[in-house]
Amino acid sequence: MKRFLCKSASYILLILICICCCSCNKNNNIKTKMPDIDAQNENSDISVENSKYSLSWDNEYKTVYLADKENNTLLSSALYLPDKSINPDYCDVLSIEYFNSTAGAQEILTAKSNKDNCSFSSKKTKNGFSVTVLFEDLKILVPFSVTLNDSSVDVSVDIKNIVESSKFRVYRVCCLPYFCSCQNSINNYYVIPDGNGALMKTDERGIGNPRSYEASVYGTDLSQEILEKTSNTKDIKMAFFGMSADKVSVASIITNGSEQASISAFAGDKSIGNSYANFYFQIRGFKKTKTPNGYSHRFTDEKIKNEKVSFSMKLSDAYTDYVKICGIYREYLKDNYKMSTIKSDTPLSIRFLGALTVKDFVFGVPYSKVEKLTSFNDVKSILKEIKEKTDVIPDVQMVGFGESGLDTGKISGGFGFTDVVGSKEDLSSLLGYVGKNGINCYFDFDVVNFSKSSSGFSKTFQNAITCNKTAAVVPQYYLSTYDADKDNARLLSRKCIKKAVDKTISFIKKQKINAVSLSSLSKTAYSDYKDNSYYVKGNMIKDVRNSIDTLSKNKISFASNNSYDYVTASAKRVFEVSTDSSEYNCFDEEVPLYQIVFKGYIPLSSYSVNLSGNPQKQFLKSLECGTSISFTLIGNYKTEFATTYNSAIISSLYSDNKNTIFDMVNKSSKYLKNVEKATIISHSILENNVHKTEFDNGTTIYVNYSNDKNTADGISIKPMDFTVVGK
Amino acid sequence: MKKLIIALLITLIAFSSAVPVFASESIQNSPDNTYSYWLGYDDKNLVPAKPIYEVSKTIIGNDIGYNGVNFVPTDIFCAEDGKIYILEADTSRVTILDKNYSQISNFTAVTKNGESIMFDGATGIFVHKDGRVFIADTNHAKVLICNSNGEYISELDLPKSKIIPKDFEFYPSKVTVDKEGYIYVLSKGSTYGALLYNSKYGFEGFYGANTTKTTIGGFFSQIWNNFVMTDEMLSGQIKSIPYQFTDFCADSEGFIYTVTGNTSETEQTGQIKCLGPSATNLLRVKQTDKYKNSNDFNFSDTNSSTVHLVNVDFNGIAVDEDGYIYALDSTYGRIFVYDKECNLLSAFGGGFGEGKQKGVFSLAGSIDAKNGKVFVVDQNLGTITVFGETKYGALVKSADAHYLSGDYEEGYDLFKKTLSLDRNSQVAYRGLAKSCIIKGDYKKALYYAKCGIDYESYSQALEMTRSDYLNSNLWWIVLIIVFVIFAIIFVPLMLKKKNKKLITNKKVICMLSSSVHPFDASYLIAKENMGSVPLAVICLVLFFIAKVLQDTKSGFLFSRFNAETYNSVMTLIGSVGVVLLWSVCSWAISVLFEGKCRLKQTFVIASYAMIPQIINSILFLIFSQFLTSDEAVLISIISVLSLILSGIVIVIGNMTINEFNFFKFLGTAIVTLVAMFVCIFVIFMVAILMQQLFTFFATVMSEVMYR
Repeated sequence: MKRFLCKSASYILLILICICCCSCNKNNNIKTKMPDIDAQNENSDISVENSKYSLSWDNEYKTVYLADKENNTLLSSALYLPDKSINPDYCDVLSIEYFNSTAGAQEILTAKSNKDNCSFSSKKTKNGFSVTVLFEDLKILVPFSVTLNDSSVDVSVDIKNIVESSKFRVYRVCCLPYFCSCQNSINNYYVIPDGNGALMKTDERGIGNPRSYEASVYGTDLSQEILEKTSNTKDIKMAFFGMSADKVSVASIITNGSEQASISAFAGDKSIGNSYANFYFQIRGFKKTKTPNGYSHRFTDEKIKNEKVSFSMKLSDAYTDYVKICGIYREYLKDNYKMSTIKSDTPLSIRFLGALTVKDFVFGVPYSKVEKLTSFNDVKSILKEIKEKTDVIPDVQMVGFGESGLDTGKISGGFGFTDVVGSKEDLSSLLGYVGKNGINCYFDFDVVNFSKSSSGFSKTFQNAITCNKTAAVVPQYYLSTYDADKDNARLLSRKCIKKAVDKTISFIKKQKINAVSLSSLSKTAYSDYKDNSYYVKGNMIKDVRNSIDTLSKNKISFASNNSYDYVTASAKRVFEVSTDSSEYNCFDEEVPLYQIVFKGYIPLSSYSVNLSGNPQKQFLKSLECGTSISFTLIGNYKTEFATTYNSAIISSLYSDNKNTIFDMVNKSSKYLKNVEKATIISHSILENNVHKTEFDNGTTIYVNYSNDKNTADGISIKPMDFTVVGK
Repeated sequence: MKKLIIALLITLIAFSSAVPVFASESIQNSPDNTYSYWLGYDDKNLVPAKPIYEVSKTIIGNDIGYNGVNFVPTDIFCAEDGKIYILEADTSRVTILDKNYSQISNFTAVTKNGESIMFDGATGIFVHKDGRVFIADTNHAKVLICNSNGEYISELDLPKSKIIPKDFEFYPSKVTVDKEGYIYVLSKGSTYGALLYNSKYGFEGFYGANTTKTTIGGFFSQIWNNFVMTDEMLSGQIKSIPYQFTDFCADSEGFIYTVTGNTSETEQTGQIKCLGPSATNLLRVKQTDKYKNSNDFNFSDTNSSTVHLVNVDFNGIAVDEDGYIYALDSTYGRIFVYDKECNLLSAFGGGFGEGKQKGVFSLAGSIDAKNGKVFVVDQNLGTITVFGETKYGALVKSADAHYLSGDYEEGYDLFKKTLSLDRNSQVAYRGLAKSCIIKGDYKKALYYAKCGIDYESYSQALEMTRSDYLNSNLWWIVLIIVFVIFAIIFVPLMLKKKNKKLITNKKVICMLSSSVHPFDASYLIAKENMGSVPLAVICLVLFFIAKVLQDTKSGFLFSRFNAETYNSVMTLIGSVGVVLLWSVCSWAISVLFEGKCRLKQTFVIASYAMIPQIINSILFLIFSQFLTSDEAVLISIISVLSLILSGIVIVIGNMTINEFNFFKFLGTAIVTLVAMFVCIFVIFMVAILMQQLFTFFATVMSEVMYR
């Protein structure tokens, strides 16, 4: 017995030692040795120029200037006071957010290059200069470079060569925070790609308090585990912002590290007379917890494994409008993702919801059961009827036909279809029908969220983890209180995404399906703190692009849902494109930036008409941008579904919607067919809530969102209706 | 057998954990969710709902001509002529807007004979249809009455009256006028109700007030305190005083609607009231029998947040011209729209103190509703959000109006249309059920009534369906009844005549006769060892099965089955578990008190006593399928009889096997109950310890795995 106890104690001790060893991470990518920055310093002003602009580094004031050939300063890293002197509070070339790694509760602190005790070293490079900023008190050194190209200023921060002390570590960096600034004026505005897109004017209002905006590019990191929420917001789906101003207009595009970026904008601050927007790049992840005194953060020791983050400020004439700014971004996407114009589009898209997990009882004991919403045969008969009545061939997305229906279950629906939606023969019959009629039918698979282990994807071992080394869960929030239900789905480990996509491909090949949509992957960016390459959503674009390449190599058509730009650029169709922004109070106008960028290049379907609170308005929003109108449909409904809290099914029954579908399609199909390949060349919001969109094929549509009859450009438009002019 | 039971338990536990949480494909309305609650027999059930209001405009100072100056609205009032009056406390300003939200005029002081009376700090405004503007000037302790140009008409000060307590402090916060011209003034900190003035500004008295809630515990505690405490001690005790109204308004019919922020420290109920001339609450929750009136009804969200740790706090109320009630919650920034019968049409808004987006709030301070528009003042952001009715909103209100007025036939199409746009609309289901009854389509009426949890309509439709069924199938029903009666009477007689018995096993006979001959059966069990453990187990199993079937398969009118919370494992514990625990505890206590029983006998008696309960469950199951609500008394009688019978079997059985007299049995029974509570407590303690142990091991495992 004594021997047994000794043996047991030794084993327990061994296990505890192993645990301690495992928890001691190596901080192998933290540089702490300070280079001698004085040795590198040229200690003089630097200036480079091209045929249109000159870019300068003022060594005295430590500022960066961009001027035109007439020596008019267009952009500057410093803001100016009314007497033309530099505003000492707003003249930094670099701003960092850092934390004390030795503190128990890690607080986010800010340091600015021109306010805190800093040393600078500058050096001329080929078309610009590189600057190294040493925050003396913090012992933090950040190198960045600025380059002048033909019509752009490129900025990059060398993340790899950031040097930090053992005490203070960098959380976020912002380079040239005030470079994209303009005077407060009603005529100047920022273009913010929040959700569908919005404009933020820079005039001073009321007593001149600033209006501010900040959000993460490609949404909040899901692995951050946000257990507190106060409202629903929409993600930034494109990695840029624009500025239309009196001196120069800018499209500021993130060229590297967009997953780590946040866009922030401050407008209408009377005290400084200027407005500005910038990018912040996050280089460490953190866990935020609520404490009785506020919030406490716990940051990762290691930085993200990323060489550099960079953005390019594309310059254009004064008062370049948002359509042209979007055009600049579109050109960037075309160069990067080989985006080309579309050959054809359809006026109608339909999203079928397959099944739903509900609670049932076996002799009073509850269990989960999958209930049919739409069977394969329902889909076939609905498509037949729509074709008969409208003569339109819609694009179709099949969502929730997997083993757990719409609910999160196994990865990719367990690589199978639930029996309740039909047999293999029914599926073959449906595939035969859609193939014969030329209908693109995309089957949706979730390769990100899962709640059950299966097919080599273990819920315990193959899930992403948070920076606190716990399993990353995707909280679902209660409708009324926004309390998070933590026992919900988990995120698949980033390393396993490729494996999940490969398995999905082999499954759909077996089923003879040739079109797939990965809606969750196309609109989700998240971290996995198992590997520092995946910190702060790092390399998400690369991973997803690899998956898309694999699909195209296998000749599988790929569609997405309201996806981020790096997915949209390669999609054969994007379903459920949102038509709203997050509707922040700081926004002045809602503008369809996403549609302006992609219309004519990628087939887009707007958010479902029948799911909208105002279906007629949603219909008009689709037409405003010439995108397909969309419906989400089910074939069957039971009142038991009410307690599943699924709001997508309450107004989706086909029999309830079919007359609306026929009416709307018949009313709009001619116009939508006419503009199917067209791009948007002009968009404006006229008086009385009338929106005007011009397409490159000469078609113009006027949409009247008011409840009164209105006239625009001499054309009369009925209330809540539209008028098409031109071809 | 042991293995079988363990396997069964494991299966039950495994099944019970497989419960879905949320669907992944639900819509996220931006910026906030809209939802409603279904009223059923039990608690309110939250369901997502189609929006009935949407933001049509957010008014800031710039929009109404206040560029470069501060604009912080405090209160808003929509006059009958369509003009909108905005009160600002900080700047002592009233701004008047037209229907298109353009400024018509403003005044920053009330002028009286050339003298300016400022009203900074004023928190309430009301505009009478004759143009009189009433300003509740809180800081200056008066209600100013002026015209729309700010010219003085009169003022209301603290009246000199015997009714007014000496320590009463007059801080008017809200003011309203009813159709008869009576003026109601709410004073901050007053728990006496509103001060009531007549149309000639004469003080009439206090009107309406919340009352303190008295619980049975509180009542007895008060009596106890009166006995044991000295007068000094009693005076030092915290007295419960009623919560004061936070806002009120008058509707077109002259009723006064009040709202109270918090009505209790624990459970919030009766926050909204409709007071008639006698100041009694006239609001009724008609769709469910659970609430006698709205005083017991929670008008806010049912579960307070576990993350935000706060309660809903109503601080504003408005009633539109159609009688819909709009209650504003300052905590979450939500607006709850109720009809006259307390059906929630929708909850929308939100923001939870952040309010960065349009349609959600940072500090929702005041509300008014008129002509299909809802106006909400945000005192932090300095905005007025105008919500306009959606097409669906207009439709659902119209359908609801038809339902409330009883125009079911005319409302049929509206109910249908409402349902086609939102399958979660309870009012549409209920309206359709009523319409179908009128049309004579009882089958559909049953379906819709069941969908809409409408017991009244279901009962009516069931009665009609049953009557139709009986009319067309009477002959063979009578035939069956006659046959059954014949069989019951003549089969035993025939068997007796032929000297044959259906059941020959004495133990089975003993079991079956235990309910009808409890003395004989108990004697046989005690003296002749006629009790059988297998038969007792069968009784228990049947008891459990019958209980579960009664819970899950009873007729709609009598079923209290809640799919969200039901789990038959709990029924197992509550039926079989209790019998087993009683058997063990009763045996142990009886032995302690020199009883002669054995564990087997106690168990057998307890199990046999469940036979009346089994019969009750079966009869309940059968009768609940075709009895209407009015005939529920029959089921109640059977239930009571079966309970009495079970009690008799237990009492007589235990007295016999222990050889106790009645009083000794009564004593041991009480001690047994105490012992049962102790056992339950110990079981819970062990379960909690085990859970903590498992959690510890799970944490260690996750640490090992993720590091």
